[in-house]
Amino acid sequence: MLGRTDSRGRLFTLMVGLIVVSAALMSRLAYWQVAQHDSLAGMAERQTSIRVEVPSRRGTIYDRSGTVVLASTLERDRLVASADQLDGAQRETVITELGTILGLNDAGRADLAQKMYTAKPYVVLARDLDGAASDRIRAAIVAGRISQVSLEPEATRVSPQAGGAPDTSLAAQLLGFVNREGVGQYGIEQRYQDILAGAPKIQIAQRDARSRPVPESAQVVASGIPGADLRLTIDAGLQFALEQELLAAWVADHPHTISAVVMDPRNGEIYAQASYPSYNANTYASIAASEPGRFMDPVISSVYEPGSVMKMLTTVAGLQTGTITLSTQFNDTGIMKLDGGRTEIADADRKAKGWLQVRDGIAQSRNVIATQIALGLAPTTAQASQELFRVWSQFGLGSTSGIDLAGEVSGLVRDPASQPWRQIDLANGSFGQGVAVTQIQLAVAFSAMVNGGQLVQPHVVKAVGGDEVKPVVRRQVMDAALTPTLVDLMNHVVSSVSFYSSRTLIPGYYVGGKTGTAQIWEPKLNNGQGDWDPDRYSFSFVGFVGRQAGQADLVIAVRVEDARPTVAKAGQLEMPVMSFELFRRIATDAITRPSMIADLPPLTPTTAPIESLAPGATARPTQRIATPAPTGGRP
Amino acid sequence: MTAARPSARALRGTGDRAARDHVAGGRVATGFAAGVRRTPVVPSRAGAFDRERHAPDFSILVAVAALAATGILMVYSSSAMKALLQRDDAMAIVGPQILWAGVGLLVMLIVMRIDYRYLRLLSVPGYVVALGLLALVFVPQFSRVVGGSARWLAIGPLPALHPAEFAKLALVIYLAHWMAKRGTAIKGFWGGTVPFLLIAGAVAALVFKEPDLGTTVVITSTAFVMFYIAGARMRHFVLLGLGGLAVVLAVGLHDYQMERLQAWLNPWADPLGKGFHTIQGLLALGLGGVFGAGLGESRLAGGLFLPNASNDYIFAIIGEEFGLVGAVMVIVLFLVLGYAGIRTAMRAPDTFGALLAAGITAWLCIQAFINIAVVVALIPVTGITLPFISAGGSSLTISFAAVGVLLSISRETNERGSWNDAPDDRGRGNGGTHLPGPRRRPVAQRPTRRA
Repeated sequence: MLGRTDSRGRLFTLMVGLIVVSAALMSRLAYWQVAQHDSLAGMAERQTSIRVEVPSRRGTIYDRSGTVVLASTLERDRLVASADQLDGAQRETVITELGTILGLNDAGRADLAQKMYTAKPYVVLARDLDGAASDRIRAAIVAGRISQVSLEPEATRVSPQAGGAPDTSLAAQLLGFVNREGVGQYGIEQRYQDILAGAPKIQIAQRDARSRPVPESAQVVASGIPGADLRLTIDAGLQFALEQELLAAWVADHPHTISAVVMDPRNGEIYAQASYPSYNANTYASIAASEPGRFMDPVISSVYEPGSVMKMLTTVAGLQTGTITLSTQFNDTGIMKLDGGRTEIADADRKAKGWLQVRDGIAQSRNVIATQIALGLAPTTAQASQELFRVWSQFGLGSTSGIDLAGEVSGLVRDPASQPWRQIDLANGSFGQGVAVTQIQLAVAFSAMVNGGQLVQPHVVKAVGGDEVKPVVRRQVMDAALTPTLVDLMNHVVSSVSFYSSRTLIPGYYVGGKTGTAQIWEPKLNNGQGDWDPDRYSFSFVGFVGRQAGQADLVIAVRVEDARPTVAKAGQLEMPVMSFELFRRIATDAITRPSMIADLPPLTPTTAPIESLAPGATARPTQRIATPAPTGGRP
Repeated sequence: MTAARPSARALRGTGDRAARDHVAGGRVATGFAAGVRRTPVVPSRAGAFDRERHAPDFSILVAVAALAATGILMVYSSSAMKALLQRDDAMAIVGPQILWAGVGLLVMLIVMRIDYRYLRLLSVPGYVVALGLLALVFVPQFSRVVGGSARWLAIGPLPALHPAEFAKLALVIYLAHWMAKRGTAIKGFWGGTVPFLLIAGAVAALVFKEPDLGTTVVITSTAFVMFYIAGARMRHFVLLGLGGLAVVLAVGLHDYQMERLQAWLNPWADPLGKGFHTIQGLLALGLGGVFGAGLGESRLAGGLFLPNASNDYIFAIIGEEFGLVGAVMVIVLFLVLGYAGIRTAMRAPDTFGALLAAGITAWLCIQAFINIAVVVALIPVTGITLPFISAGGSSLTISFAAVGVLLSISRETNERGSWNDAPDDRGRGNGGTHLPGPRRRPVAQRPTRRA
């Protein structure tokens, strides 16, 4: 036989090797299980536990009366299926049964069939079932006609009030909506998300093998805070009326959008704020893909060139600097050359009207006169620009108003300090072209003119929970003594021009305001350099209505954006419903509502005599300013 | 293939009293087998002696039985919930495991009663069949792809077979046979090293091609251990090691193996992707701590986190449920198996038995330690099972059969230097085989106890 060739020494080496390796394994094991025990166990704990957030009830939103529900949260049923547990025949049964119960058409059935055949363990078949449908489905499940289908309650935000237009909900753009994750989007729902949502109840539970929380292991980490209710400054009745008026005007005028805001100039409360087209917050998902732009509230989120409305601010600047009074006369030349003749501005009808007082120049919306006021604010164009810009900034143009809504934009107002204005820029600014602001900014600025110069902060929430929100006055922007003058001027605007007065004045009430007509800047015109489109206009009216002379109870800002008016004659654009006519309809609705009148302070006799109403009573003599051309600032 | 036959010369040479007693039908009380009853050697036909057989090494049996029992327990603990969810039957995975453990036990009990030398007859056919089965895996209609590699063979109604498992045993038997026959010629380059590489390389290449890197590593390591024990020339051995390393670096690493390497170096770089298995295994170990969460209390085994909880990562579940203590116990059991196996190899009555015992022991221990090293993140993920513990019928049955062979060898162990111990063939370093008998070179005189 053979001798042995296997080596005992080498076998011994092998044994030593095994011992060394196992010692290494054991020490490594001890490292993980003892030294690293805490950190690994912590990681494993985080991985195997599941954090369950049970949302608290979302706060309800009421109107200013505290009785009308604008948005509330309901539990509605969601229909889910374990499609993977069914065979083909069972699926067909489910599809047929559900099709009958839910009253689906062929497209709906096809959609349902497609969901049923995904063969996933969890398929959502339908959401937001109404009570009757839920009951019928429940009955079918109990009767055993359908299987592997169940109903789960789901918090659904509903807007119970119908809006003033078809397929809209009341104040949809103001309120915003709440998405499936319970997060408010747009408007109040977004702005007050934290307050409305409260804090969720947080539980930590172990996961089972199907990754679902084990109820017995759940520990409450945070007990949660229920969402607070909001009471708005919105008057539901006025809001509804406003929406109806906007729809009617939209149908008549066919602009791109039409929007209006009604606010209390004394404290900044918004009584109503609406636009058309709007949407139905209950079915927001249906337009989320096609027209998400409708979710934005044009009153706060869309800037535009307001046009002649801005002449009021030019006038304020003139009055504040003392360079004019309402009686100061300017020569309306119809067309005015600027910047040494290289640029020109013109009145809408390009006709010279001769010497006009400021009040009439503003009433007839003469661009040339507004330009002359602006150019005359200071000796040089640069100083005059600074002066006008300072007034704009003071009155809150170009900065957010601080309204408690999500998505407010600040506007586009160029600061002459960063880039000096030419004369044409100053002229355009004086009658509201080349400057983009929001409607809410204009409403707030006009409120300051009529309330004694206080720049109020507009707001839509009157009370959070039970706590009243205190109105905020941002600053004093104007000498309070100017208010009667401005109120008078605005009244003069709508009463002296027959074109306006026939469609603006309300018998028994005191109204005033300023119209604005601006061409729309179209970037595609002028070979892509952009120019004002001669056919498309945005019409504005910002005005007030009061119960007695010299008093402004409500400020209303109306905007008809991107309309194509008919030209009755040069400089006179006709629409079926003019902006000031719409203003009158809204004002009538507002001022005659019993609830609104109850909210307004009691009538007090007019204290100060209105200086401008009494000719000759002005401290300043009537003067004529013949030449608008300032000495400085010429190129 | 004959038993060590006591010759008069050997008896005289040793002058061993025990041996003489033995021949005389007395009882042997040597240092090793104290208290072990040895069957008397009865002259059989043609003057041959029946080999002396005694009770097997029960420590091997105990270690293996403990490991297999642990395995059934842990497979159940780690698979019950998953099986219940997926197949509506908590016993779906552990049921076959119990069945296969029974079959394996039976195979072991039979094999341990058969003279392991008969395996020499089966070694060449077994090796050829193993190669054939491994090649058959590449025939699409027979192979069943599991986890991205075609490792399973499904022929007709037979239960799916893992040919690499069978190949391990076949290769160990054939290598032991071939090396024993080679004798000192194993030291030669053309006579030893090259044929060795061809024999082991064929199997390793086929397994690598499946691809099954883990099993390739086990097979290669086992073959090299046997080559080493059989007396390979160290110079060749070292060169082979370096060459192998170069081959691995040059061509052996696929992209996915590079990814595994990176996942090993920093598993937390990609905790949900490549590092997932490693991290989940470590988390399970960390949850266990020193004393463990208790049987059936594993949180990671449910199927969400450790996808291979009852296979490759069962050791992590042991660590989670029984803690450091339980995990070390398992390592110790394998160490006991290793120690007893090597002791068997040292005392095996012939070279074939020694190499076979060493090969089987090395295979089982290497596979176990690689598996454990993967779980404790000492080496990159390779994907092999823990012998006797991981779920898997082929692996369990073949491992039991291998232990049966080991036990069979352990029944014939004797003290080195006793009368029926084969003499050391020291050779002369020329690779020539030393053959006893007339016309053959004389066998070197072995040292006696007295000397």
